[in-house]
Amino acid sequence: MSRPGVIAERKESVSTSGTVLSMLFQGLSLLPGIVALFAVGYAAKLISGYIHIEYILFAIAIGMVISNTVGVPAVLVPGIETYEFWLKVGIVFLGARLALQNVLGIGAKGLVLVVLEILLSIAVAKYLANLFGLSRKLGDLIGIGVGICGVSAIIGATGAIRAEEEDATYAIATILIFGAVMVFLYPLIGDLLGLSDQFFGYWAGLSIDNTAETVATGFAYSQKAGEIATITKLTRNALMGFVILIYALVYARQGLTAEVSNKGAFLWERFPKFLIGFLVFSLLATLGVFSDSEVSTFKHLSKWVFMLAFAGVGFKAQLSRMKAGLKPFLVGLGVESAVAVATFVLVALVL
Amino acid sequence: MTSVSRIPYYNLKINSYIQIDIVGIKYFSCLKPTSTWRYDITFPCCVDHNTFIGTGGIQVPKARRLLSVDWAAVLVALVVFILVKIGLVQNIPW
Repeated sequence: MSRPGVIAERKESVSTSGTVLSMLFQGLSLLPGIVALFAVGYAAKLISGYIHIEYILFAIAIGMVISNTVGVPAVLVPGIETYEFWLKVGIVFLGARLALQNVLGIGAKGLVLVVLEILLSIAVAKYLANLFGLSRKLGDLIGIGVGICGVSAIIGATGAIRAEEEDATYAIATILIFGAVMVFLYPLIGDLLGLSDQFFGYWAGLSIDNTAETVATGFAYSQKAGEIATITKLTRNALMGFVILIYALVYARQGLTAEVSNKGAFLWERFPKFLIGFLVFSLLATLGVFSDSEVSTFKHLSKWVFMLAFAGVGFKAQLSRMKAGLKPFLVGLGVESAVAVATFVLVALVL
Repeated sequence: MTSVSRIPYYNLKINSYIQIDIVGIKYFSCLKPTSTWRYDITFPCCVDHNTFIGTGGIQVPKARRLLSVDWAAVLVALVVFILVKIGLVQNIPW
């Protein structure tokens, strides 16, 4: 007869090995989707060699066609969902080729524009939501989503203001649909108007909602535009916690949600931590830690992981999301249009 | 991890955290707070909603996420940084 301690030990051992096996299985379940991301991205890269258009647009287009026609097989879904992870790894790598003073310079100039853009988005969303008879929370979610950081901001704000799941779904659908459209529309407008890389980078970084779509749009225009768009968008992301905190405090004051007990923890929880990695890499680049060859290695590595991320953007752009509702879509269209025009004017005034 | 075998369903939750936090799976599946929802551990929405509901709303009050997508990205970048610096990863073509 075994002693209780031995039984507990055995249970512990079985449980731990079960956990390891489970983790292994979960890791393997990601492989098919990651291979699909690579296949789509690489096919796009090959096509762009023959048709001289940035591969990013092909990668997104192929993903969109698949997801909106035959659909994405269930076995691929877990791996495809990793696209955001690859995007963040790529952004951290990007830091290796950007000196910190340039990052801070672009970020500082962008910060003023970002604050104006956030205020505008929230105000227009509030007005239009009221006009179309949407709930206050849905209007706020669309305003936050357009103004700050797309999907992450909506998810964060949903918890903070205790919004309904349905409202969050509408807001996310709106953001993702417009993001997918802008990836194609913006470079076209940029080319037609002959915008400089700097102008285009700020404009895309300020007005496109989701980080993946912003980075894709910027790099679809040019390398420099992509870098500026990424830094400007990161500035917006960094403000996410502050804006959501303000909303949480306002809703709490009106008795709609509970008080925020620890504001510091609230902010830290919502701070995009990968930004720290990006800044550390940028600092290392500034200190001369990377040789030219290493910078080139990171540049190419970032391109490979971005390739996976951009293929994922296409897979996620499902037009069926438009069924979410016409009114949220119209409010989104109004806010997006207003923000696109206003940020274009702002950038023209500042640069 | 030592407490895994002692609490029913805890193992399942821990796995969910690992799975979801590293790769961002099911981001949208658990947006709605429920009575069993603990916000201190779940931002941004990182537990399968069905897991909570399906297991009768078991709470995991002190569970922490092991690694978020953001930190996982930083960690991977750090590993690659080391590999590049020691020369194991170099001359990557594009």
